[in-house]
Amino acid sequence: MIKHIIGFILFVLVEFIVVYFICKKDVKQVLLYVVLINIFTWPLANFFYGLFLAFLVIEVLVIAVEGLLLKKLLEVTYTRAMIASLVANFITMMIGIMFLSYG
Amino acid sequence: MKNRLIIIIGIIILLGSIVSADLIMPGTKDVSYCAKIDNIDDFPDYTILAYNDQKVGGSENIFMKLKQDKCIYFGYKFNMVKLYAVKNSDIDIIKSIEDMNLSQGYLEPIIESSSDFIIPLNVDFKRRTSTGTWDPRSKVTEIFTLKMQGEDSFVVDKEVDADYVSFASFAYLLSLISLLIMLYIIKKKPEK
Repeated sequence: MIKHIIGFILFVLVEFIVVYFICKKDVKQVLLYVVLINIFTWPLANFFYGLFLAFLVIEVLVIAVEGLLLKKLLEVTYTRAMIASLVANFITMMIGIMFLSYG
Repeated sequence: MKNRLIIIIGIIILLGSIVSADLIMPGTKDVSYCAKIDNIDDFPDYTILAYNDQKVGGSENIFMKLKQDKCIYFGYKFNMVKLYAVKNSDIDIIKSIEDMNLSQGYLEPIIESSSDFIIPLNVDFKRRTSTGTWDPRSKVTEIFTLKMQGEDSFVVDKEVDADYVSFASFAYLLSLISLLIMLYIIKKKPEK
């Protein structure tokens, strides 16, 4: 369980940094929203992955949902929100794949 | 600006070095499984037997009497278990089964040659020993109930019960709360 919590915190930090630099909004707001968004998507993504749904399908859905929530919460353009979501999730995905390959 | 970029890249690399791969691509976990019949005692004239047809790891087959509310033994995960009801009046069959040396037990021929006495039970085990890490279930119990149909046959009803892991359930609850908070915030935002 502790592994899941640590992983969650680390991924939230990575996504926070990415979203903050792309969306350029108030730092506290960005942190709060990124935490809320990840609390929402993280368990669901893991659950659906557990049901052996294709990993990339889940990632695309997560990017779309997180992008939409970022747009609504941070009041940025769709393009900026989707880019932030795409980059943030791409980085966390690559970190995961990298350590799956070498770990 | 350049320093900030270096710090950020450093943090990402540092975080990445700590993160375990299965955090993002989780593996599977074991789910304990129990299948049992909850009303064997309602049929005192019958003995319920489980035939464990071992497909992997040897040729030994196992035939055992079932007790009410006790989990059926499945052995290795690829084994097939079939259930049968035998009339106690057909004591010879029961005795021959009980006397049998299990290591020599090739029981299919006995079952086939005794089809008048041994009643197959149509039981569908949904046995799955592993699932996704985030599947909230920790234990699945299939409870079968026998019902007599006519003089010499049974129908089997099934109920499924599950125990849940508190951590995963808690995470799903938090997920729902988080969604509600976000919807509330979005609704409260002034329209532009």
